[in-house]
Amino acid sequence: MKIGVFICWCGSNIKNMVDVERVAEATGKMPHVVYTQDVQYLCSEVGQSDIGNAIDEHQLDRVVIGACSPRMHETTFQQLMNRKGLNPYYVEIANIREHCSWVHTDKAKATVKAIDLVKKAVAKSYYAVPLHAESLPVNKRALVIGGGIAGIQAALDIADAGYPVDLLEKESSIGGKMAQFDKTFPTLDCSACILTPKMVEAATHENITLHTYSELEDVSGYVGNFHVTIRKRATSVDEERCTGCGECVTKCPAKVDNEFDQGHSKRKAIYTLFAQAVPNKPVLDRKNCIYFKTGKCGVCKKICPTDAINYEMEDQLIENDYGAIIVATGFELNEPTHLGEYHYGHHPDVITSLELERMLNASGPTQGKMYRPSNGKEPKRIVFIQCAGSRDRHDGNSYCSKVCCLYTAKHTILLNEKFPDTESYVFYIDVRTAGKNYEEFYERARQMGANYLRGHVSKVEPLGDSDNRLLVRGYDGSLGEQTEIEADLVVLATSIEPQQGAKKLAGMLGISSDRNGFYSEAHAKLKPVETQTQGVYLAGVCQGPKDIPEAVSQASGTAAKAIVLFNRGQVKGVPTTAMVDEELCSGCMQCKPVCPYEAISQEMITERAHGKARQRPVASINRALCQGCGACAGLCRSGAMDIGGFTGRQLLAEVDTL
Amino acid sequence: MRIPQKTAASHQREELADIIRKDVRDCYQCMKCSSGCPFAEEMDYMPHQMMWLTNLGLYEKILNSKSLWICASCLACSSRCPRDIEPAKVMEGFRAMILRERGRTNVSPVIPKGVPRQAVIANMRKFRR
Ligand SMILES: Cc1cc2nc3c(=O)[nH]c(=O)nc-3n(C[C@H](O)[C@H](O)[C@H](O)COP(=O)(O)OP(=O)(O)OC[C@H]3O[C@@H](n4cnc5c(N)ncnc54)[C@H](O)[C@@H]3O)c2cc1C
Ligand code: SF4
Ligand code: SF4
Ligand code: SF4
Ligand code: SF4
Repeated sequence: MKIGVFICWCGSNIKNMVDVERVAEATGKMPHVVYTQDVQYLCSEVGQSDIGNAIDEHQLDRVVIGACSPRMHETTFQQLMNRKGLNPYYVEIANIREHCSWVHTDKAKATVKAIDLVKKAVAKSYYAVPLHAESLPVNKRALVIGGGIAGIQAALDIADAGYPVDLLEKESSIGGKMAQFDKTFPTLDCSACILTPKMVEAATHENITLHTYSELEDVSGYVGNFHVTIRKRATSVDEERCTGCGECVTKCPAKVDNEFDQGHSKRKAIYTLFAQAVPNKPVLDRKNCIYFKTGKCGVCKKICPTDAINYEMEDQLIENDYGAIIVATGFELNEPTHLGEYHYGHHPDVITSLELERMLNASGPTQGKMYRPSNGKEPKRIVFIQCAGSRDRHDGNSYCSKVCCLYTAKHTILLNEKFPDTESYVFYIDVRTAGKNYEEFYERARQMGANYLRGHVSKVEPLGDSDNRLLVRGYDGSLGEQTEIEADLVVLATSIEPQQGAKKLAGMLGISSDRNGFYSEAHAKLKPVETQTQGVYLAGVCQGPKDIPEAVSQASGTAAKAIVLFNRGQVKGVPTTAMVDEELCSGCMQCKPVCPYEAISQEMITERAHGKARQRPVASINRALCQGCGACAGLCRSGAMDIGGFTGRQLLAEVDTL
Repeated sequence: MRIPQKTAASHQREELADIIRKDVRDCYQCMKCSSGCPFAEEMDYMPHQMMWLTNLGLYEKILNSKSLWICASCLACSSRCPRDIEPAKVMEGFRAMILRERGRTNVSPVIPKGVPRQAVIANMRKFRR
């Protein structure tokens, strides 16, 4: 065994606090260490060739590095080992920067600590074993969960690359929130005009299969090989037969609140979500259907010219295998009834921004006319309340919902354009316009007449006048005084929240959520679309509040990840997986339930004892599933479980040198 | 304060716009004008507040303010405004509106020792303070 030790200065980062020459000298005296060197930047090309030359000259077979965290450069050094024909797990890194030079102020003591850290690494390398990652085939088919703009974009990109995609949507049409909007900031494109072509393209693309009115039932497997069960809910309408003529919808006598219009209109029990729905075939909402409630009616069945109505239809379970899964489940909006001071739910003229969005929409409940829900009259003075439930640790979400500043600016612009004699007042805490052309958009809103008042509204209360107006009590930071406004309509910029079912879905997919319930990316900066689970990617608002351009870019990012995976055709597993010593394993299977990745199963092995062959159960690891977390190794009572690269023997050797 | 139902009439807004030829709506209330105004502390409404009252259409408050007459027209605000609003010009616009209406120019000095505005300006220009 020939070990080379390399100590990095990291410019002055390490050298200023650690005597690197002493570290090299001290560790050079350890058994098997045949070469030491301190280098200004080990990660630089010069540093790399220094190591490479030393390997050649001294026939080193192990390398110990004293430098920054292995999180930074472990792969850099592993790749160098690979190039030199050595197993990448024969390199050991001691972190003498983050764990030493950066956190200490006494150079003498820091140097002693650095020596200990490097010695530890040398001792560990004595027991290093070569590790190999397994190659696994990839199923070149993607599943996209959520048919909002993010999901649609991801599906289209993957499909355009030539791979089949299944697009799963829980509602009866794809489109997501964007389908509900009138215009979109910052360009005021008509939302439907830019969205519906994409919806149609997704529906007609030869590589995309739509599963609407469907949800995820079960997921198992791992990157490249996910096995998924989809539950397609019974629509009671035979897709093959239905021509989308809409006769049934017209004749259905059961009327209920239309969720798509935020309750500002009625829909039938058999309905399509909106006029441009894709697929444009109705579904029957059994909860509200008279036939399902009383057994009488059946009007739709009688009227349907193609006999497509099927009251006996059952949920269908569809099973499929996928190589990659893209999660694009979007968001929900907070129902601001808990913010009692705003009177939402108590006064009909206090509405949410999405309700306003529907009112402004030419295909919305009022065909684009503004009205006060209390009396149907056109509102003249509208007050907008920003951060209604966002950035509120007391009674809301502590984070910023990110898009409300801009969409409120949009609303004031649209109002001023369409109804020039309305006045809009916006109470805000900060106006956040980070984004290309967003500042200009906000400027335009102010210029067109929106009055921005800095200060949070404390209370909205009925004025008690004959017009049933509202009194908004706020503060005007510019004048420095309490300010009251009599308003015809109050609009709350409610908080963006994760989907209700987000946690459950995360559980099924083995991904994690942040403290606000949005799905966590693998790295805040460098892995923004990946999750901790390989092969599962995040697009759109399910990962955190964002606007359409951001959701679309992120979606294309996930598509690129999936395409890379499919092009490569195989995946490398994690080499540092658990390993069972079958001789020591008693087959107690205590490890099985602790494994978060369900990588452990029981296996029967045949042993010879006293001249007889006998069968005995032991634990067995699926190396494709195992992520090397170590839970099982810590638990195993017989010490039969080890983690490659971190075996019990290696860890003990480290402790023994101290 | 309660924002009144009726704010400045359109002919008043037009008259102001006609004099100043500026769009006060461009003001984003950064308050730089007020932070540099040498007389801000003496004013009942500081320059940024005057701009804001303009936008809210609360002309009455502006026309009755002391600030209009405390302003020395030193132009510090105008030279620094990141939005090129020229608050000094806006204030001048309101003064002009009053003077036109009153038809006289003798406005009583408001600085304690009775120093007329023009003298203060001269002083500023000389000593750059
Ligand atoms: C009032 C308002 C106005 C806005 N205006 C603008 C604007 O003008 N410009 C702009 O850029 N942004 C705007 N936004 C932001 C915009 O809504 C989002 O950026 C965009 O909708 C994000 O798309 P998404 O696909 O991530 O999510 P969504 O649009 O929420 O789509 C998610 C989809 O997934 C489906 N789904 C959810 N869970 C499941 C599940 N478990 N299984 C299957 N399917 C599921 C949902 O039914 C939905 O169809 C606005 C937001 C609001 C609230
Ligand atoms: S985007 Fe604006 S309104 Fe929305 S939470 Fe953030 S700061 Fe508040
Ligand atoms: S190391 Fe973790 S992931 Fe691997 S088998 Fe053990 S518990 Fe499961
Ligand atoms: S400096 Fe200009 S933009 Fe800033 S508050 Fe004064 S007038 Fe408005
Ligand atoms: S011109 Fe008037 S308002 Fe502007 S800084 Fe000078 S004194 Fe203040």
